[in-house]
Amino acid sequence: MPAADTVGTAAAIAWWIWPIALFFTSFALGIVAVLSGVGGGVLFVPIVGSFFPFHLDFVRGTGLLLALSGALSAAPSLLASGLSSLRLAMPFALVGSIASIAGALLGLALPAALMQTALGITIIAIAALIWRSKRSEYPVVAAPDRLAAALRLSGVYHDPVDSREVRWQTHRTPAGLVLFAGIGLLAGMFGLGAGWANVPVLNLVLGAPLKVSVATSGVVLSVVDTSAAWIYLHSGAVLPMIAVPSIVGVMLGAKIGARLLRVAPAATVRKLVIAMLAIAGARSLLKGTGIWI
Amino acid sequence: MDLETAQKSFARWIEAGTRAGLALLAAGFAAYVSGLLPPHVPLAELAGSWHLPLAQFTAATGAPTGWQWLQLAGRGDYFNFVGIVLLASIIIAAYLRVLSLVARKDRAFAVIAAFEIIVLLAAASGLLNSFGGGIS
Repeated sequence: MPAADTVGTAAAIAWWIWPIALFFTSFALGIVAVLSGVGGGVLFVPIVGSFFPFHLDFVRGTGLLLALSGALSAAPSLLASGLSSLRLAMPFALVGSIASIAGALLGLALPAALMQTALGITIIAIAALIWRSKRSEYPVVAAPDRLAAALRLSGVYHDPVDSREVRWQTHRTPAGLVLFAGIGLLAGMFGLGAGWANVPVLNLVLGAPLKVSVATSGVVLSVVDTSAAWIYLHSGAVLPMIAVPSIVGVMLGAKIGARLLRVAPAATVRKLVIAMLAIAGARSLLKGTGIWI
Repeated sequence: MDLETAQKSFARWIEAGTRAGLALLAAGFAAYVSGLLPPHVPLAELAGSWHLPLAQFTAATGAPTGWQWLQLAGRGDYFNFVGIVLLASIIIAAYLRVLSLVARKDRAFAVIAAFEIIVLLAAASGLLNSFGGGIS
């Protein structure tokens, strides 16, 4: 279908249908995001960018704000409980935030078709990463590296399930810094949030326990996304008519998702998310290459 | 104060800021869609332009960039920016709090916090946007 026809079809639908559809889509994504453990932003950008009439610039700006709002809402209780570690988050968040600013500037400067194509490839790669990735509850870290030792990247938390104190430390800090720079660049470029990558790097590369990785990921994400969000905001890529229904929808959906967490079949939800990402990624790729506008 | 203790204060600042930001966002959006505050870009015109690339959208609608939205904060659409900007400022405020608490006890993390604040303030200033597409 030619692009002009698509725009014409979208314009023929009453404008207020789109924010309402956006709210319900975001609500559903909020539920799925919590159940699958994948952030809302990584689902929101490819799905809304591919199936709604909004330009990708506005979708990416909204994606960042949406991921930021979710991370900010979850962070206080995780930080107060000690499960999330500000000490672990801060060095990597600094590198990630600098890279995310560069990513946002780059993303806003590149042509839309190129961005849409790159988004499609990235999303398909993320789907593959989620499908293939393994997690380690308590990774073995024999000794911290010199930088981790100097920064005392270690801690202790109380695990109520096992009713014990868990001590942890990390290693491979330089590799982690490089990886978080890459994650920040992608987060800023595509407005994806970064939980999908933060957790595997914190857990499998740095060696933080899984619960600490999940809890700390949100703090890193809130800093990284704040930096990029300012760039999008100043560029005019944030439209309240798109952003607010999305943020409210995802946050309400996340609350429902949290209640369903105990009864939902986690493995099925995970497969559903991988399928959703693969479809949205393929759609984005086809849209970017002009095969299916 | 050590960083682990300061973390609790960091959490409280984020919680208070997020609640205020989301409340402002909800109130602002209600005022926007109800017509209580008339928008700068009429809704029908917005719907006819939201498929456009950013540069074309701003040219077609006269949408502000950078901090220009402050001059339109009384308009329904840009009143929403008060809540959005508050959400985007929470981490800066929380890092300033951490910096003030750990400055004496944990120099390394005080330096990291200071660098982060500089990065975030640079992004928030709008000056960095001139390095990109030159939109702002």
